[in-house]
Amino acid sequence: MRWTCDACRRALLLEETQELRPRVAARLQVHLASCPACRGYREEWMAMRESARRALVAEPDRTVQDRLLHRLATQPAGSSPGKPARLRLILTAAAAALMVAGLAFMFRRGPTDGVPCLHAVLTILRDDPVWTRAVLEAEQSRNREAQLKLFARHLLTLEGMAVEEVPEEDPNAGA
Amino acid sequence: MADSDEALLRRYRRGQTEALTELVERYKRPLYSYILSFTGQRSEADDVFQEVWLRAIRAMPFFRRRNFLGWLFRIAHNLLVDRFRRQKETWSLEEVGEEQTPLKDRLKDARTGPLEKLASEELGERIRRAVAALTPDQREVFMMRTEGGLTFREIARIQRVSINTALGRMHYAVLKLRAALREDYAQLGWGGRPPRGGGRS
Repeated sequence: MRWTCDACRRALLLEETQELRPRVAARLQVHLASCPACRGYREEWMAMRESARRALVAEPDRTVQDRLLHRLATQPAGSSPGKPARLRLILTAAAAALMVAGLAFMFRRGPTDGVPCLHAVLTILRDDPVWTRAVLEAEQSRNREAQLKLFARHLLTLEGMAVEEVPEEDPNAGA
Repeated sequence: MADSDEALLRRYRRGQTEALTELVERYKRPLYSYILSFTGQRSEADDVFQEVWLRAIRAMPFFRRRNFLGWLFRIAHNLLVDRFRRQKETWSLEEVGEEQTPLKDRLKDARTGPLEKLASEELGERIRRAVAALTPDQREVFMMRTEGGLTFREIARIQRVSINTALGRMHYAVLKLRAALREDYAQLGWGGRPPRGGGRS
């Protein structure tokens, strides 16, 4: 199947960040070799990117930096969080423990009882198609441990306590 | 050879505060440029910039990302979203803020540091206006990619979208900028070649 120039130009963006699969990268090179328009587009984009980078760069004033560094110096790394932050951490941990315990209880009732509940809770918490799909996949696999992990990670992510792992998606699908 | 981010963070955790100075120096430009592209005012950008670092230091025990700049961008993204929500402002460029000036015009005078003056003023101004005219999502991806050098996977995580969505936003941002800067092609060193349309697509 022949590539469109539009697909080629999207792939060029991914090529820059080395997020293109080797097979797609090879296909991109084939297209570029036969398409002067896309080769021109790449040159134009590279020039524009550099101009934009120079035009958009800004930095804080020296006084702002000095003030910031002074504040940071008086705040040791990994210092215990302040009262509100500590309270929030405790509440989040308690909520997570309760939710996980509740889900575990539901799972014990039967092989499928808890699964729709988990799906509903996650969908309500964040109406994100990426996550919804991940939950659907978990449902299909009927792997309860994976579902529980997903849910716990989701809760922690909401509080910024864990790295969110966006479920794998084919970055080259659009290219 | 300069220390890696991890090495600097380790040094800072051991109490060497000068390691933090190095980190701030390393990332101040991409981070501040990104923040300023949304606030449009230096005073506001200064506040957000400082708050990002303070939050980063407070949350240091939870940091386990490989890309420290990506983490800073994520904190900045969340702060900016909160800020705009509190102000009940949309991220519309035509929206008038407290100064009764649209963001497009506020951005005009925001970058007055010595570094910015190196760029061609007129062209730089047109580029800034063209970037300011992008939708907030597109502008964010564009700034994270060009100024921050983040990968699309990292940007997708911050924006909580799929990689293809982040890629699509960047693609449309580039198309819009090409169209907006059509007349500047010669000055940009593209040999006065007009941008091509959709090609064979």
